[in-house]
Amino acid sequence: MRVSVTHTTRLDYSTDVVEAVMDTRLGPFSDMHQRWDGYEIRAAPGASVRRYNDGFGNAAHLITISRPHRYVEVVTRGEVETLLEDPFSLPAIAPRPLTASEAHDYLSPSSLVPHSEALIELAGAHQPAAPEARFEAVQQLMGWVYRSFSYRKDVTTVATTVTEVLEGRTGVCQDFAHVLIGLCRSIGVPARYVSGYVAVAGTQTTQTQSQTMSADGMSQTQMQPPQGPPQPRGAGASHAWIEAWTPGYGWRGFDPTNNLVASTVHVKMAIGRDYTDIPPTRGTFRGEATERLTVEVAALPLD
Amino acid sequence: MLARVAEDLFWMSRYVERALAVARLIDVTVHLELDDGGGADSDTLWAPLLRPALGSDSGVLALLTAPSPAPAVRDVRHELAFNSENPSSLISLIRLARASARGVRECISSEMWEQLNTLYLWLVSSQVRLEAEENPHGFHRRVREGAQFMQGLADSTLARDEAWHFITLGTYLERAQSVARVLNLETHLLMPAVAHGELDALRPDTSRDDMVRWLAVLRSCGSAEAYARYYSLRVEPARVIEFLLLNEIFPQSVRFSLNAAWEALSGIAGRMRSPRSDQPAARALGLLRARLEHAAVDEVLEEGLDVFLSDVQRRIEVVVGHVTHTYLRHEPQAGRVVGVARAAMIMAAQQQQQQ
Amino acid sequence: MTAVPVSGADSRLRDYDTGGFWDEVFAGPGAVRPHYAALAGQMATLSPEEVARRQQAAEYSFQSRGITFAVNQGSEGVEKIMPFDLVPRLITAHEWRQIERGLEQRIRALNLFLYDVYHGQRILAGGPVPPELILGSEGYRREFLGVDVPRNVYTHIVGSDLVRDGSGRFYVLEDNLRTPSGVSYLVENRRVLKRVWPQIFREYDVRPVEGYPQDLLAVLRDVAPAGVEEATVVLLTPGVYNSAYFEHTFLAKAMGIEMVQGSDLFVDDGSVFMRTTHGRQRVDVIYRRVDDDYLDPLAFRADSLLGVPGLVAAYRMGRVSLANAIGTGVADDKAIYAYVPDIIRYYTGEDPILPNVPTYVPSRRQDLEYVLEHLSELVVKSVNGSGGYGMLVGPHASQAERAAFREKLLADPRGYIAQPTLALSRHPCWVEDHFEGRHVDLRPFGLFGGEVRVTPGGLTRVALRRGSLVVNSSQGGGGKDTWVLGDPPDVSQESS
Repeated sequence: MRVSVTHTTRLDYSTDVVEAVMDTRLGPFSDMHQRWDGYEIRAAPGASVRRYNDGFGNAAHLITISRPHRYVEVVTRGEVETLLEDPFSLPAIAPRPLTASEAHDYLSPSSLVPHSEALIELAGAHQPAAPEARFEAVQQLMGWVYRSFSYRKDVTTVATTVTEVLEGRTGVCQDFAHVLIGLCRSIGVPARYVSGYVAVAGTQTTQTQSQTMSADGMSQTQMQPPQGPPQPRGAGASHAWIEAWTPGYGWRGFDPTNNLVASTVHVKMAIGRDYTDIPPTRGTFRGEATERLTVEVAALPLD
Repeated sequence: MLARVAEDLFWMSRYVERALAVARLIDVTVHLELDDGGGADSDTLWAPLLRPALGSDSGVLALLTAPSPAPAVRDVRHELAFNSENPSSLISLIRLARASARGVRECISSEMWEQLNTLYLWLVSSQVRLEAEENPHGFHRRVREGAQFMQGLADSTLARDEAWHFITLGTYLERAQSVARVLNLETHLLMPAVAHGELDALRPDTSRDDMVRWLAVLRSCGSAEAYARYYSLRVEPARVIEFLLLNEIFPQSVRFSLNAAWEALSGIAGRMRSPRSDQPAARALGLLRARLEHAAVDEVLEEGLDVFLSDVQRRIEVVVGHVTHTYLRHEPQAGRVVGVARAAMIMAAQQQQQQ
Repeated sequence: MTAVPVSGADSRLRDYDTGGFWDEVFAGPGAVRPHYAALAGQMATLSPEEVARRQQAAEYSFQSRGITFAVNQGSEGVEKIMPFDLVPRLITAHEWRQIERGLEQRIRALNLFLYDVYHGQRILAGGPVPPELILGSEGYRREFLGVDVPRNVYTHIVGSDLVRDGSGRFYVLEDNLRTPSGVSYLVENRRVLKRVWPQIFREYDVRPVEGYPQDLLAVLRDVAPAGVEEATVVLLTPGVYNSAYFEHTFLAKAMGIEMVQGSDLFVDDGSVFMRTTHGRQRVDVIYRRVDDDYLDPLAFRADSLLGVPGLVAAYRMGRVSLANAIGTGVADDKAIYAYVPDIIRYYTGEDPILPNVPTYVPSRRQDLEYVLEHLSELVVKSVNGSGGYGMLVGPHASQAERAAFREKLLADPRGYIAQPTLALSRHPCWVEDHFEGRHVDLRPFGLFGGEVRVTPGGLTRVALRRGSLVVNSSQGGGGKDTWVLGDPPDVSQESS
């Protein structure tokens, strides 16, 4: 399937600021399941954009604006061909086993998915009998997350840990992904966080966060509810799900927010141990200003 | 050189000069009180020190907003010397100077650091308050001499490089500013009419009391002896104003200080790679120098002394602003002030939650 | 080695008690090792007054030159000088050759190890070090995988701690591969001793150490990003409250480079710049004395105010060099230290020239059991600790302290290692009015920019408290000048 992606991140300041430095994980990500056919990233006003690769193999960009400015706008645009028509089929060539380093990355606790007895207990019932049953076990865990947690915005933040999500049983895709990662790791299945988009026709949303930076560095975040008609969860915004590594299949995506095994509608931006490795944007500036973050995402199937 | 280092040097010398001025001012006021036999109006005497500064500036001798009810004189003196919460107290100024010096110890001589450190350690020592109470003059004199020693060491131990130019620039801009301010405050108190340009009030037959006050003004600026040598005549308000404002060769005058600052600025700007960007500070200072160069005291008085002095003070602030933007903070566009607290880096999350 | 008897007049030294330890000066009671003979002659004639006078002159010299360290970090703590013992510690040319070759080998091997850990990770597939020790090390920087550093040099500056046991053999006790400090003392101790006691230098051929800053600068220039002709090098300090602040100013001055703080630098268009009074100036190489965690709030600790946002990205792009590289902490993790001899064999095929101190790694079950049973004989150290903090000296510890460490070990076996309590060698030190033996170690400094250069000298640290084995300056340790002697004339004739 061909998908057109446009992702706009805009920061507005209450007064001039200088020396913006933004580190991004906005793609393009390529692997055997998706191929980019044109990708561009632009940043204004007068920004420098430099590409590099991070330690997880993601494309990263360092965006800097040293002169005084009152807004930053980063737009990524591209067309991608997604290839995984049938996520339940075994690949023609058996995947190589994970290296010690990869296994350590995706089985060990990470900052937002710390060690949790509660998770181990919850996952215990789904301990697969045989290695071949692992794919199904992950599916079951995904289903359990989908059924047991309620999707609600404004309850959690980018820094919410699995432990907190388990207590509240509510959250957004990011939180669901973290819970599922924790469950997989608890049964010995390597799992990683995927940031990306779900391609659904005719959807586009805006996400706004307003952060007031006070002198002591505290920030307050408010989210505005997205505008527009009801739509599949995660569609039209930047989305997150997980990939689990199971014998025979290798890395396959599981989307607990929609209870879907990832296929051609899922477009990846980046992978990491959890959200903190790969936030789409992360940055600093100098100045004393209120910052307002607006995000617009459109991932539209072209076929 | 690093902008941070230049900024610390610039402020170190400003704080030292400021402490010198404050110590002198307190000392002179104490003397005035004694002359008065303690009878007269203490409040009036201390008023210049307690009054918020005139003009645009936020701080130099805006020592205190007068506490109410009017405090005992002893408390005022104590406040001015030792209240570490008052940013213009002697103890605060020396502490700030030392803090600035501390990060740039490799750029100043060890003698300078030791001098400043010794002065600071003495000011925070336990016996010093008693000393100040028993012998106020001795105390203020020691602060004054400590500060002057520091300036002398800078002159005699530092190479004439960029660091020295920033130190000199700080000293003289600060001095010009505080002399202008003292003059402004005192004339307002002594001759409110003259301050507003009513020249008739400038009688040659200054009363004895007024003469004492004008002498005190000279002393506050460390200029009484030089004045006597220069004019060898009795103290006349117009001459005092002329001397402190327009004298070309006396290092406590505003004009001399601005010329010295100009030399320092030229030394700094001389190293600039792009001559364009140094223009704002040099132009502002050049214009101000020209104004003092061609001013005659009569015209100044006619124009209105307070108008003139406020203008001088304001222009010095403009120069400081340009120096800050061009050299110390190196903000990309001078004049377009960005509210950047020093080293205020905001760790904005800028993270979008994934939904 | 034959010893020289102390002559009749030297009663001051004849009564000296070696206490059964390996003594650097005495081969036995009254018997001075040959290379110390001339010095012992001088020592024997010292009067307490003269020692006091020279000692005072030395202290004044340290104080006035500001050679101090802050005792309490993070506050306006007291600045202290490191106590200085006048009598230098001597190392023969023969001994030094072994140290030099041993360190050279070690530094090369550790760099091969670091390259491997951050690239192919060959060692994780059946190498001698358990993979979980490497991958689980706090010093391992996962984010740094796949980054090429100039000349594949990771540890440009290494300070390894050497000790001698009762037989006089040198061992490596630990390696410091992150931001080793102390080198300023190596240079300054020599300068001060020359000033306050010049006479003793006359009878010796002492190899000079002043060259260190220039050698360091050459290494730093050598690892500049590709294509940079005249590299701008800066030293990044955490600031005045850092305990090694003096050393930072010392090195920056000696190299003639700017000493910057994080806020002096910023990243734009992929490069690092410093703010100067004349505009931005590009920085090519950063000799950083700031730990990995604090380098860049965007990459590591978000609350770090010492760091430079974007620095790590610029580094990854190869547009600025850092010395030492990011992630070297994995190689001086004390649990991995235990495997350094194996690492040397694995990467170089050579046998280690300098041995390790035998080390128990409690993450191995049988080691944990042994350590718990023998706590009263062992020294237990935290794997990431330094400065003599977070350690247990079993024989000197109380029952309660040992019990506390037992709990710690059980809770976090990966967090600790244990070593036998070594009978560290001793050196005579002036105590009040006579010489007494005190335990010493030796920290030589190696520079690596493709080739290893070990400065002929080192920081000899002295545990000043009688019987103490802790030499760290933060724990009451002092210092000595350390002389590496030139080849004796007959040897050089033989070789020519």
